[in-house]
Amino acid sequence: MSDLNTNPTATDFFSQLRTSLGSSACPDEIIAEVRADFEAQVERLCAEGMGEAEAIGRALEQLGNPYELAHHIRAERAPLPGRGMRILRMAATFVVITWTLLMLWALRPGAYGSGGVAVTLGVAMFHLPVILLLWPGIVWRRNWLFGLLPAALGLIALVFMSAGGVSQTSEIVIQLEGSADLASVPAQIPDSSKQINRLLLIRVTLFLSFGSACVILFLMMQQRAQRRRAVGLLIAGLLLAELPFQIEEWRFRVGRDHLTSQSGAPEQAAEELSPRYRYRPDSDENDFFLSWSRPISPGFALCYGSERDETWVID
Amino acid sequence: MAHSPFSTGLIRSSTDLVLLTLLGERPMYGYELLVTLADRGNGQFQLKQGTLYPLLYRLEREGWIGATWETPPSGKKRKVYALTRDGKREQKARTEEWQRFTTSVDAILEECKGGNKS
Repeated sequence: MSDLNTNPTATDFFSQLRTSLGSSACPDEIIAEVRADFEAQVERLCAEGMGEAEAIGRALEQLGNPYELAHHIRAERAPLPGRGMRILRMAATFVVITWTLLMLWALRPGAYGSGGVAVTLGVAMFHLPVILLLWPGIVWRRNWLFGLLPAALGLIALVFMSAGGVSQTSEIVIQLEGSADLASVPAQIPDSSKQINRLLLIRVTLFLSFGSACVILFLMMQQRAQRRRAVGLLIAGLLLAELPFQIEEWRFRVGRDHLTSQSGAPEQAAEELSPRYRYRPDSDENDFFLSWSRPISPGFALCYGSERDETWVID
Repeated sequence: MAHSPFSTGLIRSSTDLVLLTLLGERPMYGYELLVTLADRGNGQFQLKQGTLYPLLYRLEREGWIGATWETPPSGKKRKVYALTRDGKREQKARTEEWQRFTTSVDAILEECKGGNKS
């Protein structure tokens, strides 16, 4: 059998196939695979007694139109990025994960209990879509998700929202024109309940939007094994991130409960606690105030007031 | 007696199962799969080479098969496909589904044949 690489019909076919494959993932690998199988088929047909030219024609007929073949292959073949781009995207993913953890460690200490869990979930959901789109190893159902564009858009949105944009807590109370007599200006105190409702609405909207984006992205993962791994890593990450704060808050509750369970004077019980606790009785000495500097985040303290049985965080 | 080829719909619905089953037997490269397909099943199940590659890439994208390049002792480098752990699970599930399906269809055909006779 002559060298099929020099056969003009075959060369023409593979040249058209190569052009049609364009920027698909590893087009040379696809061509090598198809060519190897094509040559095996021609060899077998020739071994069965067919002439070489006829065998080549039959084998090319089996492959079909090169443009159609390339079209069907492109639809199924995941367009994975080149090595350089893969390394860049992996590096970008680790940067975003590090940023997420830093943001979590900055925001989480300012919350307590279920509010703290909501902060952890919120921070995770806010950054997760970008992490998923940036990571180059995930196989998606839609080829456009492999591109850098959705990840880049997500990253831009993330940077913008992290930077804060317009503050939601400030509003112009009153605008002065000319040299107004300040004494004659009526006092106007901003409606704080309106601010809280607005903030709550914004938070719920963001929570639902990013939560939905996360769910959609998980459903768009082609491989079940990857989906399971991603969900598993997310849960493990959330637990690991939240655990230190939960341990902190549990330690605080141990100290608080130790004081509140005392039937007599809690001052004595307070002395048994570690120096990290600060105890202060109220003026009537029936109630007390307790604060505890968070070990992980020294700039924050967990506080408890026995009068209203309330726990809060101060920074 | 020469049989007419199977309808496109029937082939399309069973190709994944057939390919997964063949690769479950042993790893194969593309052309080897085509030859084995033609040899088994009374030669009724035949695929064109151009149809095979998109199917294999889809199964690979699903994570049911994996591919490696191997050089046999005598011959050129070839891309060999093999079943993954997920692929084995999928093949088993689809085989059970197919058996339930064909049993169901056979039962209906048998009952209708009995009904027609009476």
